[in-house]
Amino acid sequence: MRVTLEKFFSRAKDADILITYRGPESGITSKARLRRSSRLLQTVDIKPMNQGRIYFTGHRLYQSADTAGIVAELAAIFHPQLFPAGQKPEYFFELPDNDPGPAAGNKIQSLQENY
Amino acid sequence: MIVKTKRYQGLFLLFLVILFITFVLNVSIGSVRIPFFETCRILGRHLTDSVAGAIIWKIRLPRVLSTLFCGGYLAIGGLLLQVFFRNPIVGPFILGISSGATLMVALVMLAGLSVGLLSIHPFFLSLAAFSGALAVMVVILLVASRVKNVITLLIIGLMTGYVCHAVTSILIAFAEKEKVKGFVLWQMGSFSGFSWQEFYLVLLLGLPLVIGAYLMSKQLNAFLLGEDYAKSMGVNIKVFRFLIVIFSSALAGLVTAFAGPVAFIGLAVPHMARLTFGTSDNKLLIPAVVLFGAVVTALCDLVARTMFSPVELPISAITSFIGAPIVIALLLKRRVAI
Repeated sequence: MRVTLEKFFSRAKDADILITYRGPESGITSKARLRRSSRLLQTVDIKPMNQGRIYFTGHRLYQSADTAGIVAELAAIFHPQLFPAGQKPEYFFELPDNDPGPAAGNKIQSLQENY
Repeated sequence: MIVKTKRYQGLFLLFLVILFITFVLNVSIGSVRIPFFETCRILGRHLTDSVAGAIIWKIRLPRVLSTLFCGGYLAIGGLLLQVFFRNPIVGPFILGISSGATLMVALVMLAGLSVGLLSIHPFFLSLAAFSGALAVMVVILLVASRVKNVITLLIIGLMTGYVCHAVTSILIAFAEKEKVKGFVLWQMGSFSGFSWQEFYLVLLLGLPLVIGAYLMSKQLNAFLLGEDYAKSMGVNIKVFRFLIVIFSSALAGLVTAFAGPVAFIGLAVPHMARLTFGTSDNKLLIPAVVLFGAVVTALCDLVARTMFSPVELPISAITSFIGAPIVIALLLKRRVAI
């Protein structure tokens, strides 16, 4: 399904969280790369790109029957204050702002391993 | 003669009005509802900060303008080739232009030929499509300089298209499903996501070609009566052939680069214009085809993005769906030979 850009923009403009299916496998390893790969995001600004958070979906999401686990992970994303910190994600992974340099450690690698 | 001239002037005026109405409809209607007077206020005061302002100025306007120009370009490309091949079922993609563009995009998207880039920039994709179209165009030009018969050239174009299509199919067979999805969406064609920079590029690259095509209208008219007649009228056939292939391929390649393959417009719009104006004079037909192409494409784009909003339909589906019955109806009432 292809949603019109203006509809997407009107919904995403002030959103706190954006969940996308595009992750490291599509070459999207950071918000900066996501912006570079999208015509729309180069033209307009949406809140998740700056102050909000962006998550990409892992393979397990599409294969898992653990609906409760998926909902729990979504709840932890939307209301992090209600859940203990430091839990390892299984279905949704947060995109960093920029690709980490060699000194900052290979975060892309770890994202892909999780993925 | 005077009656006919007045009729043509009237028709041009009518189509200019329709073009303006189409433009207004495309800017003011979309999946996000913005009242008409609010749209006028946003346009008049150049308001871009609000959501509605950003939608109008950054999403809708560049898209609408690009659609109008790309529609005109495709229609001209089709007209040139229909006259050149003296064949009514020829379109701008008949020489394998879209297949060449599709193959290059498939190589980038499916085979990972992205010169080391991890994610593919949309402009890189456009560049790949244009280079694919250009490569096919060069092959056709090389052949055109050696082949005397235009039908042979047409068949070579078709065969080139088949070869490109075959390679693309093999790439699809080996590609991952996520990548195939993106590729299939590109193949369906869409005017979505045009930026101002891309619009300016389309405008600057395409407009000289349209003007060039118009300047060739006298030679095109001579060509309508046969190659020998054109020769006797002083048309340099070799140069003329070269120019027609370059102009039509470049116009089709330019549109394909930014919007993907858009079916039907190049094939059907010249018929619509010819049958409505009741003439085969290319001096009249070329501007008429530009107007028709722009209006038909923009209306199809409007339907594609609003019919099942917020889901956007592929533009090629709409162009064929709306255009084919119109052409059939016009042909049944036809007044001039094609």
